[in-house]
Amino acid sequence: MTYTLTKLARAVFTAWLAVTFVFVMLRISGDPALEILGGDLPPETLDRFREGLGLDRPLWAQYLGYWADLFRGDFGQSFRDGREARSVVMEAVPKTALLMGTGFLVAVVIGIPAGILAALRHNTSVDRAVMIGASVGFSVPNFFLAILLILLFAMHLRLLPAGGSTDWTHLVLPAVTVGTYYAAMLARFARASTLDVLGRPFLPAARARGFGSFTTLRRHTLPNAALPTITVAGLIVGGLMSGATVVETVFAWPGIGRLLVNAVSARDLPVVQLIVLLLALVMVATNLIVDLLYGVLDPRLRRRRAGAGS
Amino acid sequence: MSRTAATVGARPVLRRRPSAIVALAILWLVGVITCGALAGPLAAYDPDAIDLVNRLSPPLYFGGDVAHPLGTDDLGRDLLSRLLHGAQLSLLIAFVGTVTGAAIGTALGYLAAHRRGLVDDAIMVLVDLQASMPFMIVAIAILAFLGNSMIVLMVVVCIYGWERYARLARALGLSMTAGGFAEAVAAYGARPRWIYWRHILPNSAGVLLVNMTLNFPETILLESTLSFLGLGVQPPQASLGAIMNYGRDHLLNAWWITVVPGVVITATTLAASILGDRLRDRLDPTLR
Amino acid sequence: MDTAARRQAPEEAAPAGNGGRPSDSGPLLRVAEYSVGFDTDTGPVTVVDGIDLEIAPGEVLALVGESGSGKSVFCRSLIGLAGPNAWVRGDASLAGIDLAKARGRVFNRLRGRTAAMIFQDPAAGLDPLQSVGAHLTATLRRHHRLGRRGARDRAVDLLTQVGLDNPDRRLTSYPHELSGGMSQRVMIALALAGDPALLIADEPTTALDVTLQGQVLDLLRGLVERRGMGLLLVTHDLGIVRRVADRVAILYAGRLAEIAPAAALFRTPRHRYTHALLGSRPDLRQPRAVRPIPGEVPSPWQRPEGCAFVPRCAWADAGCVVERQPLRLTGPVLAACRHPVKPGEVETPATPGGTDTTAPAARSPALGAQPVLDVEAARRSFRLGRGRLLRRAPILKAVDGVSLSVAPGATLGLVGESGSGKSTLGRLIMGMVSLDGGRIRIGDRTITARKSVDRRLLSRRVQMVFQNPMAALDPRLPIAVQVAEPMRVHRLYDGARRRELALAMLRAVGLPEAVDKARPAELSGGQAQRAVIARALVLAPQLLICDEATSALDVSVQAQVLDLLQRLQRERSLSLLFISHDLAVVRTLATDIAVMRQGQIVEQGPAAQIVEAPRHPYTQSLVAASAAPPDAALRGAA
Repeated sequence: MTYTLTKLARAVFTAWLAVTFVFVMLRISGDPALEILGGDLPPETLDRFREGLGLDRPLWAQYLGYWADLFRGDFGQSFRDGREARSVVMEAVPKTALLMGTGFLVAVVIGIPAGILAALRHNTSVDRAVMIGASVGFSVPNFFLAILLILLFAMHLRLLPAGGSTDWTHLVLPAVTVGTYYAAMLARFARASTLDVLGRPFLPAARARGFGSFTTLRRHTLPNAALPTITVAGLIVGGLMSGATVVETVFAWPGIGRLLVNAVSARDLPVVQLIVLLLALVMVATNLIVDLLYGVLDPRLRRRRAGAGS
Repeated sequence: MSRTAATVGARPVLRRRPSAIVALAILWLVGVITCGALAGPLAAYDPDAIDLVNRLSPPLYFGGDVAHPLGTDDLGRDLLSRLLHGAQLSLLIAFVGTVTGAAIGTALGYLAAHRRGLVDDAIMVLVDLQASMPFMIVAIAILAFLGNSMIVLMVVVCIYGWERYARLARALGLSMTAGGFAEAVAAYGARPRWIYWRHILPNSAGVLLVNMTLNFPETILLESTLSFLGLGVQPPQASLGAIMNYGRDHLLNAWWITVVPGVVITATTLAASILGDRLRDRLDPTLR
Repeated sequence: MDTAARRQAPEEAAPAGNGGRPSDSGPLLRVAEYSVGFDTDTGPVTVVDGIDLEIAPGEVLALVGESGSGKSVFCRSLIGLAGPNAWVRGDASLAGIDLAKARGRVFNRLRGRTAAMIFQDPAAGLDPLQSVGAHLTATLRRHHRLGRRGARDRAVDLLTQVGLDNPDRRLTSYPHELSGGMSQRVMIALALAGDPALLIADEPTTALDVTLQGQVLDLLRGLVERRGMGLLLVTHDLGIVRRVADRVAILYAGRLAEIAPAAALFRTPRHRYTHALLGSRPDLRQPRAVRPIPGEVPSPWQRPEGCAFVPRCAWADAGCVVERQPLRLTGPVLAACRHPVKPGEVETPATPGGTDTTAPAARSPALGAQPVLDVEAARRSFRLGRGRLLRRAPILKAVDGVSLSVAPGATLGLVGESGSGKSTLGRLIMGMVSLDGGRIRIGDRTITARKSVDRRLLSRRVQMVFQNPMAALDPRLPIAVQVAEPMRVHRLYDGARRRELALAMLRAVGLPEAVDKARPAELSGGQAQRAVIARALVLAPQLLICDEATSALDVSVQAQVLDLLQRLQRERSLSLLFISHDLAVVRTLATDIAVMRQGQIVEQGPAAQIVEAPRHPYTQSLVAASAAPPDAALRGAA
């Protein structure tokens, strides 16, 4: 219970910090009246505009008002086309979710088996091949990988489309691009944590009790290696979101990543603000889920059961 | 005690030669850094000189000529010269960013280890916070709200990664203090500053250096990604990422503007991470 | 199995020249010319070097050796777990199975059933993600045809056999919820799950407190007698051997020095190494200055050609250097020595480095002298973990109203088990931890809860020697620089003078010249501890606190350090506060002993009185656990 409460408190605290960060950033980013209307208008018009936004109130009132707006779901209008920022962003969410989900799958399906295999064949050519592959996957910037894939598959071979999002063929190149880096990261991480477990004395102890190497692997090595790997999941979700900004931009994928980049270039702050808050919320939720999952899976964090204490 | 034999060096120490791949990585890094440092004298052209006669000339072996070995862009600017200056800027930003991040992080990590209690808690909350947020998004948000300028970009790059040094430095400080030699040194009356400068820092240097080598390529990637998205280095200045961003519009008829800087970035990050892994195997005592 | 018959067997069974092995049944384990080694990056290295021994069913054979003797490698190799780079040569058969030719599958079948093994660190031997019940039922079902219920019942039965209370509820416990003693009992239960014919126990009690050690050993002995299995007990501690072993094999640098029935070995050790090892061991019953063995165990890379003990042996001659000695029948004992100890030989001729000092009690300080250290009602508590939401962390009273004093030139031994607060007390005196209440006076300086003393000033008066010498030295700096550093910190003398004094100090602690430029990693554990002592004494403190200063060292090296401390104390009229879990070690040095438990001193008095007539029940149990049983009660005594 206390573990869950601590983690919950931490999540709430992080969310509060993220909102406050955005609020502070918004306030020091300049005068929205000048930003939106330009400096050519008479001062009275600007003042009236500021009043409309509540900028004449004291800072704490603005801060509370900001929170109230958030709870009402009022994030203002996009500076660019005057639509509700909320609907602009929400349109893009499913696209990004699809891309990130596929990329995650690519990363997990390639990365984890490769990492475990490398650890089990430690210091062999298999290990070295996986590690070299991982190093390369780690080092190629995703925007460069995206361009190489476009040059090869879209322009040279003409197999797959270079941009857009109408059918599944459009998904292949972006998903591979986002997934590659995290496949490399997962491979390295799975390898390291498997190697770590392989060095622990409870494995020879299990062998000494007559368990074969395969049983030991399945019963002891993999569960213990999997546990720390869960913690990377949060890192990967965050990374996939960062990756989405680049990949969506290059492949003209109409998700929130591309929306964010365009909004930043146009200084469309209501949209930027909403996307940043949304992503922060996703991160807080992911980390919370990871923590709670860890708490359930690791008996050392589970609450002492009745009768287990002494 | 006359018979007490000095068993100095009882176990033979093994020294392995650096493999070819590591040698290659070092060679590349030295080359890139030298070229970046000497970009001015090395570049045959002014990187911004427009020469419309020679526009979109391909690189050597792809139909180009020796005058522009890596070709030119649509304004006829020499790509090699632009590359040299771009590399200089990218490396400079990454260096300053890595070193500043390391200094801030290490100082805060030691502070947390030394003070414990509330100071420790506060620093660790910051560390966890930064570690839990994807930094690229935070960077984009900061650049969006504060506007892109070189100063904001530098600040963003400098905060990047400090939390890892803070974690490492704190852990190292604690391990050397609790039951370690730093405690023994304190026992004969040394003051904290002496302990940290003379004993803890030199003994953490290996681990911190490894982390810097691994952090350096990531800083390059951060800057070039931002620049590639048009949110980082702004024209007329051009980093490697910015050159690639520019070349994106000419992918169909001048692939080299994008691919050549991409290869340079990839090779540099790859070389740095190979070197970093190698150093970690050698220097990081926690892995032994 | 008729245990009575077996126990008296050794002396009668001698004629065959097998070192007193009971011959009523064939051997369970027999190895001959058995070697184990590794292929390393620097070439092959032999760790176990041609040993011969046998274990009969129902017999306890103790394999005793210092670190680097190859004892752990030997027992791991028996079940094929010595590692992927290991190789084995010679003959070995275990319950009729030829181990020399065994491969993976053979070992898989014999592990747990023919031979089971328990390890030194019981907590690390359990999978943290699985409950005790999951461990046990899986192991039981691996070896027997059992359903879920059947396995559970057997598991409860096993836990009862190893003496855990509430076995039903224990099944749902996870490893992190068990204490060290409980973990080891669970490990033993797991080892018994396949009803093994041979149990291999690798340092089974080393990680446990003294009072627990006895319980676990008694448990093992009882199990051997009830189940008639053989026990190969691997240990560095001759003390625990006395308690359980029928026969003892002494392993030195990968070779067998001696195999003997336990009683015979303790009464008349034959090999010079065995004799020296017994002499270097602090003994609670016979307090005397320990006789250290000079030098150190050679590493597998630099073992001598002939007898491996030659560099440390006062009796060695040219023949010992040239020729490896085979095991020869010497009385009821097999010993590999050209100059075996003769029965009735009383003392070794002045062992080099061995200083037979006057008994500690004779050096009692003058009465009425102002004590160097005076602790009055010192208190210090710690919060355990962090307070959680809505709940405050529990508080541990680490030091709870402790009063003691140390007179000039005296040694106070502070004895307690882990968690007794003895180390915290040491750190309080060093000013490393602040006081909650009470008063500590060191020379002319006083520490109270309100007034913490300047540690710079304090450090001229009191210094500390730590448990782990390697961790206490900066791995990066040369030894001489580190020994000189306290003077530099205190701005004493100039650089040249400091270096001169540091070198003199290194000589005073018996370190060879060559060591001054070496880094700590190049030293052995004993040498590193000497360097730490040198660094502590270079400021000429009045009081030296030794916190488990010899616990990490081998017995023979421990004796060297104890001997050194005694000598330095005499030469420099130093006062010692010697903190240890080991009553026998404390007894060799201390003029007075204080026994600490749960933050309090339960008994305090002159050393002889504490050991011979302990009044507090806890002290009595400690004495009982530490003291070897009298000779008459020895295993195998006819």
